[in-house]
Amino acid sequence: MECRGRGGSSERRMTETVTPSDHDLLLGLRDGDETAFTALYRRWQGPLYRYALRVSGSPALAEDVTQEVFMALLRRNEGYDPQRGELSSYLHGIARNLARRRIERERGHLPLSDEAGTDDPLADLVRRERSDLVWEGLLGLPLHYREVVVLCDLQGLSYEEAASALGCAVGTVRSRLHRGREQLGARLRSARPMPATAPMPRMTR
Amino acid sequence: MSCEDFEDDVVDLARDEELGNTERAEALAHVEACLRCAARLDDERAVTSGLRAFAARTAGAEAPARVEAALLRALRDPESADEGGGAKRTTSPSRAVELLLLAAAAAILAAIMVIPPRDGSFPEPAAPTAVSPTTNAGGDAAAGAGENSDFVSLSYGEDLRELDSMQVVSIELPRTALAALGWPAADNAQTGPVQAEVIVGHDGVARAIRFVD
Repeated sequence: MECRGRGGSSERRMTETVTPSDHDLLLGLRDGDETAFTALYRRWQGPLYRYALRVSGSPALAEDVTQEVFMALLRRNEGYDPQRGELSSYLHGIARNLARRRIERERGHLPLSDEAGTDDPLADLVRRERSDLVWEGLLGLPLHYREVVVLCDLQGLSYEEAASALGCAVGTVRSRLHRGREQLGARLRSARPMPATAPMPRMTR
Repeated sequence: MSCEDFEDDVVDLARDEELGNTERAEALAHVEACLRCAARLDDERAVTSGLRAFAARTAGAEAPARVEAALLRALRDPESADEGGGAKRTTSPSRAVELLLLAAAAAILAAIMVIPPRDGSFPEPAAPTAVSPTTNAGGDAAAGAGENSDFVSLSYGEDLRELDSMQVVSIELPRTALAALGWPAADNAQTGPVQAEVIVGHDGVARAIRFVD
């Protein structure tokens, strides 16, 4: 599990020691600074890709969403207002909307079409992980519960950050997380006893 | 602390986050005295454990390098990105259809006209695999835009004649939307919207398109 702590995103905290700040990079991007964009992209593509992958189970969708989030940032960099929350919440909010649109359109049946029959080790691992009861149970949750479980329990966003990304109240995040986990727990218990947390191969490219 | 209050805190307790020291101590004290809530906490901790193990197993997943390369191309040449040619890796047929229909829906001047079937049948589309949206043949038909073209299938492997019902919808769409279908954006000398007819199945999904005067 990624390092976690109260009131902050573990994915974000890992980047906090890196300078310049997100704000500085965004200002550079507004001036068309390619270096600033590259730094911003490399800082955030991983968390955003993982969000889309975890919530959809589809590497193809995750790739599209990641690209479209940054395209949106290129087109409307001014859309981000630091007063309204962290960049993490803003970017996750865009990724959430894009992923949700695709998932709903494809009614949750997202084939691993891009990966079928390839030698891509990531695709192999995704196929293996999707047979994992936790991911299977997660993908079976109603989307509004699944999003919150992924944001809070997998991406490491605080309730406030998740609420900002989703555009809802903190209380809504809490209740959705509660119900989502309750349903996930029931699915896992009905399938088999909760798997032990023995080390498993990590998904790396 | 009551069992009801404990239920409010059990998720935060199991996640070991978002709970103040006082609430945490009270919740743990309640567990000592309530077997039912202790079992509830065990269940939630098992969920936390499973989720964290899953998060760790997927922690290394990242976007392929081609995404960064495509975005840098878009940054260097924003116009190509606006036209859809700079950043997207491949526009799938279903995505192209969505873009097409979004563009069509956005056209304020769109004229929607449902054409009733003639003798119980609909305009016969081209065979589904005869012309692909991304083929040059399709491009020629679209770029022509001054003459009616045959219907071009937008779905692979589906025989349109097997559809239970369908409608033909007349639309206008921006010339730039042609690129979403893999067609050339059109002759530079031509401006204004493109007229088209779309065959839509009973499920609302576009199956074929042709461009008309």
